[in-house]
Amino acid sequence: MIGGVDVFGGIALGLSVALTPTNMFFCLAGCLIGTLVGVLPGLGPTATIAILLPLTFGLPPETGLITLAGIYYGAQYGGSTTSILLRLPGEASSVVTALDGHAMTRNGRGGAALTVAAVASFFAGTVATFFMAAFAPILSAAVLKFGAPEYFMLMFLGLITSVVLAQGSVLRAIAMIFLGLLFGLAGTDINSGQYRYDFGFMELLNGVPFVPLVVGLFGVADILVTLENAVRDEKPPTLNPISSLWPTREETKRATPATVRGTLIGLFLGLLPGGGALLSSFMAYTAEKRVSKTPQKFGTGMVEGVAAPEAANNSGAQTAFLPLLTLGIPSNAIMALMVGAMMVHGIVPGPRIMTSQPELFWGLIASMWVGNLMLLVINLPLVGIWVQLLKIRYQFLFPTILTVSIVGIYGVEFTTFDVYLTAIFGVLGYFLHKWRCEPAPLILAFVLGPMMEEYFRRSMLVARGDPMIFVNHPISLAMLVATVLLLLSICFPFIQKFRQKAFAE
Amino acid sequence: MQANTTNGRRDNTHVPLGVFLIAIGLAALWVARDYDTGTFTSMGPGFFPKGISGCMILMGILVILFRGKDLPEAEEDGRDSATAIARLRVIGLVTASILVFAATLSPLGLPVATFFMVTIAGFSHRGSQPLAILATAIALAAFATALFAWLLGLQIPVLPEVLR
Amino acid sequence: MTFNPTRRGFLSAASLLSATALFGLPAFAEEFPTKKIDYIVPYNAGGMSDNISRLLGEKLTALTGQQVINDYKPGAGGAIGANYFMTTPADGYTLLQSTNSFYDIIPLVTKVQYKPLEDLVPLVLVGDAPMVIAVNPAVAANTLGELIAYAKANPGALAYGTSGKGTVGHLSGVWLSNKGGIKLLHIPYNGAPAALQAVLANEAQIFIGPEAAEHIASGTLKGIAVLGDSRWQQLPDLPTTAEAGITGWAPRSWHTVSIQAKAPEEVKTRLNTLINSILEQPDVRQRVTSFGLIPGIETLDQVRQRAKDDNEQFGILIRDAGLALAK
Repeated sequence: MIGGVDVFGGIALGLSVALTPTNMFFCLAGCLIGTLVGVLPGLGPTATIAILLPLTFGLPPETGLITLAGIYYGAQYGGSTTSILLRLPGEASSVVTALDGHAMTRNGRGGAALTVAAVASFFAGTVATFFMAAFAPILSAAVLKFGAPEYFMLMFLGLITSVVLAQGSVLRAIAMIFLGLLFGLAGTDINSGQYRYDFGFMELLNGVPFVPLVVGLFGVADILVTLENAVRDEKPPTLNPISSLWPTREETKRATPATVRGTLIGLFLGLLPGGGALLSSFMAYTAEKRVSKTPQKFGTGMVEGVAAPEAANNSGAQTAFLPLLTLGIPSNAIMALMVGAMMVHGIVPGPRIMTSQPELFWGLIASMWVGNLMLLVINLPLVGIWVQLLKIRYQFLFPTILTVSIVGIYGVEFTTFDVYLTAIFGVLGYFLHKWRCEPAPLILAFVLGPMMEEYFRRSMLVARGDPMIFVNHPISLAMLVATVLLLLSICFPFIQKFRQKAFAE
Repeated sequence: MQANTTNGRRDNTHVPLGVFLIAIGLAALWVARDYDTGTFTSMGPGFFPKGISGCMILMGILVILFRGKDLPEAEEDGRDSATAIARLRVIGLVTASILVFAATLSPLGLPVATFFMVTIAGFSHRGSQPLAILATAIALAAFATALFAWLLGLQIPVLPEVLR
Repeated sequence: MTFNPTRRGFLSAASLLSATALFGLPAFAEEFPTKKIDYIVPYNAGGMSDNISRLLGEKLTALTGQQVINDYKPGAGGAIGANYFMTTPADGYTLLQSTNSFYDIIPLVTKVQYKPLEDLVPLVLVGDAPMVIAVNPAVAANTLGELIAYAKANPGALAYGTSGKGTVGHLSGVWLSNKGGIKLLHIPYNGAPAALQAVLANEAQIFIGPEAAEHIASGTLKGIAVLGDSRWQQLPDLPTTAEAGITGWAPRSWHTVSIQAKAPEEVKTRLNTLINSILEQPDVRQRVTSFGLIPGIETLDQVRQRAKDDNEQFGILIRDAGLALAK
């Protein structure tokens, strides 16, 4: 018994629920749909779950939730595919994977990258499932320790370290961060209700939508650059042939510790409502770059840069269920849909679910492991197929990418406004590329910035105006110290160089 | 001190980038001019926007001042861009294709809008035969309709407005 | 020619009249609906509005044989969906899933393309969402009286978390502050789950809204009172604010289906009858209760009056709180 919970009894009960033919069938269906939807840029698991929600009403509640959950973490697996092969993140969580993942593809190691992503995700999913089963009550208590000051510090730390994502000029990366912060400001300010940068468009009152931004800056811009290069080089664009589908011994050796580190990071960050997949995967990437002996090689195709974020986003996807299952609080939009699915069956999510609906609770957790296994089995053979698809001539490939992305984007909110935005961001992304700027820090700042502002202002409200709140709360203080140390360690080499130059003159 | 050079040519990207950043910063500052600023411990909705806009202007100035020395050593791709006309063609056609899709989706339905989008975008690819472009457009229009409207069941208009 | 009703004529007229009375409304309204109905849901799928719309849609289809399709148009707290709804034809074949917010709050704080009760009218009452006052167990108050006393002794010490500025939860806090003569700090969060989490962690102390119900039942939050004058079946031990001495109108949140005012009266009456008959079915009542709502049946006039009262009272609260449209 851990924390008063009979873990083995629970797992046994859970497996007995998850391994029934019906539940296994629907789990498989969910995983398949999730993988497909994850691969499609634009359309995401949120929109898909919303559409398929009514179909689950006729099913028993465990089956319904198992299916929807399968779609959710299945999408994490699928999202890395286009990220790695086409540098087009299918999901928010795969933005970071695109950096080294696509670089590996350019080096001809795309197959290996996909395999590493799948295996890392499976490992992470397994560990996360066990973690949730064993430590659910303790973890949910930990979640409640995170208030506005702690969240602010976390986001601030994330933002500072995002400079780490810079592969080229640090100055331009910082400029991109500010640009991302600016984009993030559009929408309705939570604390005052003021509309900011909405330009009269009601569609912007909830902020700039994420998918058009990412698909525009990465996908469309990429198409524009590739087409221009084809004209300039007067030859059709080709990708390096994929050498093998499996990672080499050396790659595996490096990927393994990265997977473990990524899993742990995702485990904790995924717990935090609002923490999100992007934060987990990004922090994991940052950690890898910091502990690596060759940090400057990141961005050129380091396998750790694929294994860690993929592990993190998958373990994060699992632990994101915990606040819902133990506190009744949904961590993100998808969990909110799960709440709807439960309520239709008359199940009210809350702190009592573990005891009042044990089959649901344990069945769902056990099915997550089953689902991860199914996804590994599905995705490994698919690697070969995706790699074949890459060989299609670019003149046919890019219209396909364009079509699937654009129609998919429309399918999220059913408004052509999003499509127009994608075109605008595509042109912007093209110019940013021409001006030697990276889109990744922009995306990160776009996500973290508004949250950072929100939490800071809320911290001030809670603290009744006293800025010492960040120092008085222990977790917040710890993160503040970490941030300062990190800043120093980033600036130190510059200070060294400066002093050397000063002495030399 | 030399400006950044690649293959003997000067990298002047810092100029348009700097101007862009300054322009965006100024515009953002202007739009936010009426937002209540507040104080540091009691921030209004205008504090962050004005602060960030100011930083953007600063970034723009820095980028121009550094004259490209902030960039690492030249990367492999040190070639010139394509001619201005070729670039305009690529950007213009692809962007137009997306805009046309958005404009024709509701009035003309998904398959027709997709067909137009792929056709227009197809012409941006140098060396594509018109027949191949049209064939691709038809194939993708059918594929997109089958995938999104039928298989996934999204409520996307398939038929043109007049027929609905 | 003089009017000379023959006996025969009179009899046939009488039988025609009684036949019409027997078979209900005149023929042309009986035909409604004759084609599919578009059900606009101004939120994302999976929320309370979605669940209600699916339930009603399913039953309407069973009753009339016509398809009911959910059309999601989320954003701006419901304003985007409402504005879109106003552009659809006013023939009864497009309906808007809505709450009383659409009549009393949204038009006063957001730019909308309709005048509440003049352009948009409610058709039915689906159910009331009980506004429950819950506090973190660490707060040293067990009744509303004690809470108010504590707040008076420590002005500004208590904070209440809401799902956003200008929501029913926020305005309930304003109402409570006014009625109790106390100062409460308002902390807006990004939605009810975030606000609940904050109160569970004691970052904010008070939460007002239906979402706290499950936490009160499981003991993670302390229940103080329920707004209004009648106790809630699901939490029968919770006293009402009226019992605590605060009588009169209390902020409330209720769900309805709305239609354009321009739609034909017969269509409105027909829809009201149809949906009320659905709401009377025992399994529907049971499902509505399981959503956490208190089901209720009202006529067109009753529900219109409800919306009017709320419009007035919320308007006062909004002006008091300085929230009126100034963006």
